[in-house]
Amino acid sequence: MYLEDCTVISHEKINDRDYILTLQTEKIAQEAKAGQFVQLKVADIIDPVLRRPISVHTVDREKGHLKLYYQVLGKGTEILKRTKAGDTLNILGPLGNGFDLTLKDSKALLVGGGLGQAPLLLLAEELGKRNNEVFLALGTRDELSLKNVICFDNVCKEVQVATEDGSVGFKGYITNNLPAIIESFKPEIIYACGPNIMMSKIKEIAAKYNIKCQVSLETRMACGIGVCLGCTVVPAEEGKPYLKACVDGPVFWAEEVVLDDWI
Amino acid sequence: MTGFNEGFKIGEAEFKNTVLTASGTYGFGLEYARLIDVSKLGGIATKGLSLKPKMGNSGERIYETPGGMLNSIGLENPGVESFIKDYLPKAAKLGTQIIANISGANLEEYGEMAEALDDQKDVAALEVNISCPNVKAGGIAFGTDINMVRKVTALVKAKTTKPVIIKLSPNVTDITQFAMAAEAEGADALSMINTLIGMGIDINKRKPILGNVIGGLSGPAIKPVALRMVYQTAQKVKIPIIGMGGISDTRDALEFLLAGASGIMTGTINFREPQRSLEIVDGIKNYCIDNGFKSVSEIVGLAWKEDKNVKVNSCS
Repeated sequence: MYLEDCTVISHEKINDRDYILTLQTEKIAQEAKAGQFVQLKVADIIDPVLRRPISVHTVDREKGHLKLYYQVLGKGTEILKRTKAGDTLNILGPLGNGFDLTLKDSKALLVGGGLGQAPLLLLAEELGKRNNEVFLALGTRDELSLKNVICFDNVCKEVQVATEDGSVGFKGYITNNLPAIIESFKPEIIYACGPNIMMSKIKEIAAKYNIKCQVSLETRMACGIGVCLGCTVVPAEEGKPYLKACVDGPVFWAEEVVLDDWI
Repeated sequence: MTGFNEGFKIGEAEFKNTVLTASGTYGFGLEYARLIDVSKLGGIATKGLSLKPKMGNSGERIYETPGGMLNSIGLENPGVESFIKDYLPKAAKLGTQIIANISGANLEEYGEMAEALDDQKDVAALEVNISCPNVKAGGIAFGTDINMVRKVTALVKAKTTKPVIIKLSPNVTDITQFAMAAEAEGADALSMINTLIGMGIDINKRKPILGNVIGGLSGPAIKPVALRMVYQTAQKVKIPIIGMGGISDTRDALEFLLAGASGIMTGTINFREPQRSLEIVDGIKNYCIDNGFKSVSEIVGLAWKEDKNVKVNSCS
């Protein structure tokens, strides 16, 4: 965990709401694991007062570049989107646990929902390095959010997309396609990131097919390092203390957490 | 410059400087110690402790607001026994004073906790939370009932030899009355202020955002309110005040000292600027030296001490 002032190398607009920031880091990019996140300070003003948690999209470890894929969702990201190459942004990270990367010479199914695709790129790259076949199933609202999907082509054996409006790929939720994908691809593990209601559905499907499943969750968060106790995740085992998305997660084994009443 | 005195005292407890971190914003100091040299802090007030471990509130616990945030954590903590066994030995090695923040579900629990912590040499003082807005059983009920403030203060004082700091609720009509009540029962210092109660509503779900419905507002947004309360109270009590509420930089900290606080605590700003408290330590010292003061204590209360005729009105 480091606190670094990072120079913005580039700031790419993917579409009206999605951006990719590339930052020059000293140590964060070298150490960041797939599924981890950083806490980014959008500006030196008191409103918004908190940092923004943004997942690691991918890294160039040699150059020390950190890529963050984010969506403009509110006050903080509205300010962030005005950032230009050459500006400095203060970053705290890498934070959180990251995905389990013990899988070797096997098959992994990655499922992303909307912005949930962000942390899956580095994951796909890392799984590829371990000689795994990677299948990406990505669901988005419309074609806009698929503008960046091309970057997965080199690291995935197959990419299947579904849009809610049917503009690209299958029409509807990607989760509808999962049983067919699982039956033909036969993955050893599923990694998922997206809206909580989608994570809940994927947990159910993974359990039905008896496949290990990791979900990356998003919660409101203040500190990002386990102090404020704001980012509660409910553990599956009753009577156990709440989990914290920032330090116990953001990645959890699906069976360890309650997702149903958690939207 | 040698000979400059940065510190202050509460009873027998000495703090190397006036900058401490507020309960609930710094855990037990261990997380931030990975990032910054916490030994340079005046002290750390622990996450609020209860007699038994507490799960805290369910549902959404935090909600960012303009210049601040609401929280309704509900005192999630490992309990005083685990604190003593699992956390205090590590916190004691951080090189700064540890203030144990305690919160009871009833009067007896405050007493039991004070007793349990009394022989812990690594606890410099007790900060008694009578004002947590997020716990129904005790918390705000104690903090807004002046008779309960008297009883809790007297009981904790009777059960401990450590300096006792009473953390006051701002959610009362006249906080100076509560401050004087605590002082009369033997409180060694006051922490002020705790969070202001507030809420947010999700317009899509058409329901309150926080699982607990109401939460405590903190951050820069509450600073003028906190400052006013310190300014008024400092002129009515003789015991030291630790000022807090939205302190985000050296300028804010100086305002609280000038208003009459003997020390300050940073809170919400720690979440965003983990190194800021250390910058404030240096900033206060530089300000004092640049202006010819020989100690930080010399500037305490100057906003009203210089001119005894300044009127303190409850409204303008």
